[in-house]
Amino acid sequence: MTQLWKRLDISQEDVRYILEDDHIYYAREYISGRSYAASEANNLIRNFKKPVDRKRLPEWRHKLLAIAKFAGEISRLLNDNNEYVFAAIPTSKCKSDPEYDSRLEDTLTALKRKKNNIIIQEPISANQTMLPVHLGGTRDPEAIYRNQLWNGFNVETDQVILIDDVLTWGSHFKAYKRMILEHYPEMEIIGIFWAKTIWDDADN
Amino acid sequence: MLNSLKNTISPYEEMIAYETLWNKQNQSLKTLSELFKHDRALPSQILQRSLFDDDINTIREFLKSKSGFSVAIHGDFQYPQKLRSAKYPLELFYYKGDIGLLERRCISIVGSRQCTKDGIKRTKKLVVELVKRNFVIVSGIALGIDTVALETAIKENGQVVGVIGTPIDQYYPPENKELQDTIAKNHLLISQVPFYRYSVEPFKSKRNYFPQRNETMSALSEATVIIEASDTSGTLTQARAALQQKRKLFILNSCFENTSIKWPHTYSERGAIRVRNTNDIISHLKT
Repeated sequence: MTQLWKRLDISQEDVRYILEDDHIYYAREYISGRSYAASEANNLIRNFKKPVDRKRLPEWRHKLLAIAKFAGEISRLLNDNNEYVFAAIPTSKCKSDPEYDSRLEDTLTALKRKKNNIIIQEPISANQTMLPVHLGGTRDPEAIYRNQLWNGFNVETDQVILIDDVLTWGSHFKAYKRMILEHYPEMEIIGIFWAKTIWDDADN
Repeated sequence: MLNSLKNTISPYEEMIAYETLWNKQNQSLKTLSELFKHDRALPSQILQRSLFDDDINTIREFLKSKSGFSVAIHGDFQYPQKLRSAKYPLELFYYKGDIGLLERRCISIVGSRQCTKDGIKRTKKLVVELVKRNFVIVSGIALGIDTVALETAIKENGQVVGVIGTPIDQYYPPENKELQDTIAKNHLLISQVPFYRYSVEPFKSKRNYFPQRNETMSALSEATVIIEASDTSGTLTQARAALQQKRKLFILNSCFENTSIKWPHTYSERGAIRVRNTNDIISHLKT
């Protein structure tokens, strides 16, 4: 049986920056700050986010497996007779940073290998590296918005699906959505997150 | 036209549909599970093709005030497959906390509300050993053995799952409010009780949810340990469920030595395991 992604409903679930008109799906719940062993979700997310300095270590294969799994699970959301435009939500590091992690782009590349009806776009990129949240970085959508560069789309579309690994407050999604809507006010923007955080330490 | 996505659900809409199905006259866990057995679909799909959705607007309005919990639905990524062993498996349940705990090895510890001093001592000893071995302790947040089992596990830095027989936003017994809140905040709290139906039904039928939650606890656990119980105890519902679900059922030797009760012998004949000490249980759990 194909597993079902959940649509986030803010009348029941409270995600700080997400509003009723935000269209978001997630697969699992992830416990922030807990180890790989806490659950399958924690294992997948922690492997997926494995830092790039581990690239030469045997453990890197777990990251590659997580990327393939995320791509596989997204592929089962798609109808064969439609064409979908996808974009990765930029991570906190910009592409020129040696620690830049292309895990989300790699997921879309893996997805493209499975499904030929997807188009990958990069409408937005990070201007400069921001401090990650777990090291005291900001979750303010305004600050995140100001750090983005608009590249635009090179296809005509009225819908874009943004992917990211973890939904915590929704700050990055909101910043990118705002920027896209400024250029394409009619665009339908969908967020696909592999997991939603529960018990985020910063909430307390 | 915008491209749609498949294999998605709205937990909120499924909850409303499920509660509406629950509200049909004479609906029981048994009839509800039969509905899903014959028609393997989501609650919203079953409701759509049924004739009893008159109450849906009332129920939708009622549920508007309910929030602060998650909804697990058969088919979602984290719905525990082990629940399918139950005689009447739940299609949907409510929870607060870490559903990932259900992926770990879970053991139910159950027993009388009015427990003896020895029963308390035995519960504590057993739970300490199980927590040391990383088992998750499952219990019902009732007074007596349930409370001792859960509090001991928490004190020992173990993880627990509390399964309640009231809606997830209610407390019974009220004395255990703090314990229930702790479990919801740091562990996992589960309720299968439908909010709306519970709010309109008489007290007498509300009591049925307690034995039903014992069946759920058993399904979520690889074994159930009965510390002590009388011949008429609700705990025995879980004994029956454990054997029916092909789970291990451990009965402490002290129960057999109590000549005023017959149930230990009855369940022993049906496949329960008589255990003399904690090591007995641990060694059976290794296999």
